[in-house]
Amino acid sequence: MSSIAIDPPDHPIDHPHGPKPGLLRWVFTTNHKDIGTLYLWLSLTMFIVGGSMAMCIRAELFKPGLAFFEPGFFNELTTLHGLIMIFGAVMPGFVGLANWMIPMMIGAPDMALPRMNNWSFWLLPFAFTLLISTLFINGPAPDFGWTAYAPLSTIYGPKSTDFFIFSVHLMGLSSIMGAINIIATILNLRAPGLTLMKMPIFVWTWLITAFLLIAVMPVLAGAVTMMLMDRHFDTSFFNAAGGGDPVMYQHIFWFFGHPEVYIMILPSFGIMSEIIPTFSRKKLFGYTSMVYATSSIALLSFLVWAHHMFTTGLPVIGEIYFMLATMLIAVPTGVKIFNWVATMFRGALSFETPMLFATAFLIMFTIGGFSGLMLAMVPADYQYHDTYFVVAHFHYVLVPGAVFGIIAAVYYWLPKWTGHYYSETLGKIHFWLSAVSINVLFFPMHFLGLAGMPRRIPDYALEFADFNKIASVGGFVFGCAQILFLLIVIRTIRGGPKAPAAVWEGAHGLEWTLPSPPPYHSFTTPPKVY
Amino acid sequence: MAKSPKPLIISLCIIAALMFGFTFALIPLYNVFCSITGLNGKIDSKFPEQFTRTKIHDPTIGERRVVVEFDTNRNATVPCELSATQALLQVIPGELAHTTFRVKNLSDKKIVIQAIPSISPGHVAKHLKKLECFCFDQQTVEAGETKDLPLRFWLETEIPKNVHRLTLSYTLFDVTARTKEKGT
Repeated sequence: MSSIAIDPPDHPIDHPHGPKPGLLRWVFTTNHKDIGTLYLWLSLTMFIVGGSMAMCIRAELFKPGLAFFEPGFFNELTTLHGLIMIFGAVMPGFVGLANWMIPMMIGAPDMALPRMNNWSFWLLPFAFTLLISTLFINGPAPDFGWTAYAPLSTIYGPKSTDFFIFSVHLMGLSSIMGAINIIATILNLRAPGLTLMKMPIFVWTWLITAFLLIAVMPVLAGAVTMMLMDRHFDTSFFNAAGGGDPVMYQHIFWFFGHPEVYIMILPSFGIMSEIIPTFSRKKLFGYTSMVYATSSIALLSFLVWAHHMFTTGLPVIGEIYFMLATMLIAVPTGVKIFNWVATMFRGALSFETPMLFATAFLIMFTIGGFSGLMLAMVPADYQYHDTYFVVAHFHYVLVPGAVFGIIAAVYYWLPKWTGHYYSETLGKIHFWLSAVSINVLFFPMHFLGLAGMPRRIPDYALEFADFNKIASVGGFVFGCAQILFLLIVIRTIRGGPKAPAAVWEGAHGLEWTLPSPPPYHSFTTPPKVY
Repeated sequence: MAKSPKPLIISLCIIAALMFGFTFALIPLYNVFCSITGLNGKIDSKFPEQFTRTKIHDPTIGERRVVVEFDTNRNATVPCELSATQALLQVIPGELAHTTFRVKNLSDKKIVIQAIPSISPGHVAKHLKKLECFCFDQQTVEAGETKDLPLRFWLETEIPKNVHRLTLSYTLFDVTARTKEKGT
């Protein structure tokens, strides 16, 4: 956004409204930076909790045979790992970034609805306490996979399913309120002169994501409400005996579930569109096409849900439609990938840690995108369905996609948030450990899936032993590397070389006009953008 | 740009509420969609009005016969056995066919069962019309009782020419608890 000239805003040096002293500051805060910080810490905590579960899963799968857990507990682990990573780590991570950055990027003092912001955060710790408590109460925890297909979750669901249902309700409520807040902030609080088509792409992608959240989180809430009614109030939404249809649960779930995967990747696209231009020292190539590509991905995401259900016995014409519509999404996604590559082309590139993660994102997300195209093909999907190939695919788009996006964003904006540079050496060690181990972890899963290893099993046939062992080793290294990330973040908060207002020489945008760390209220007088 | 965000917030809340409602509206929409298109092997179990208008026997069809196979499954928890007395029938499209299914209660309690039909391939479902089926109602089976349950149906003459074989499958569910709670 180098074409935008910005009036230096004035900031009173002794700002009268500081944070409240003491721990209660965090409970009552309505400040967008405090709430952003809370979201990010929650996200990191959940990432570690969900990650520990992944470590348990990989330990069990290290060699054939049951080593540590009963199959039932293994199912609980996979279910909770999925739910915690999606709703606990990735989504709050992005909301935290939105809270921190959007007001600063659009020249606003704070979010539009600060009190609701506080509430939408504080619902989450309760939601996850409810969910994780199922591990410690009598009887099994939810064990039907994160998709909670009926009748596994209705007739055969353990008692703890009700805990799952109410925790999903709380998460949904929190996401919807968060999304309303973000839309209201972006549409109402932009600095004078900052038109929609001048907004940073991160703000754009979040605006679109927020609309997706408002459209589909209520659908998930509806699905789990029906599940609750089937379980306790004698309805038969998904019970064939009473005239319902379990396949319909899958339709409703994936009508939520497919836009959900874009909710988890669009903000990452936005982050890439901030980081890549900065370290290429060029303007983002094709700004307008980026906006339209993001919007069309969002619209198409509503029309492709049944590609998760090719083996449920859809009519051929339906399968062909969903196959082609799914492949169509590759077009706007390709536009974005090519735009990023074109931004880097002939740029004055330098590879600081955020850029390293961004480059890894670009390559590995594309691998995940291609395996997605393979899965979109109906005849091929009959073989791949419910195998480790699917596991490899969605981990390639979610870990090097969404999670690397969040990590890159944290490295990119951490000096802005804390006023200190992180240690570039440690950052690079973290990057290389993560980037190598993640491929050791997930790449063999493609082969396992093609060879026919089903997902969600605690034990497997002997011929899968070698690749599973390799994947487990990669998993343990990746897990340990993230502890290093936690240490780097803590170290940077506590001290480090002082960062100036413009942390990165190639960066443009309103957030870099504020000092590092920024004042408690971002822009008390709106800056002028031309 | 300090305009009030209230109208925007209200409309966003309305969108969220509408989407919640839309989820529930999907249930009837799904059923209507399935019965119109005959997808999912669902059939219209109401007495079809066009029965009187359909030619019961069309001599131009000649000796064409379609094999209808019967398949029965039971939900693991049902203490009942269901079997077709004839494993398959050769049906002339347009002619009324009749067969029975035998249900046997293996438990020492009275149970109420509900059979749920499904037809494969799904696109033929709309051409199979039932006059009488034990799946229309819940069936009460006394302890240890064996009962013959009737099925009367015909295949429409419009059934696609390339269909030579179809399967009519019934899955049995135990609905005793459900009917008790309703006090019947």
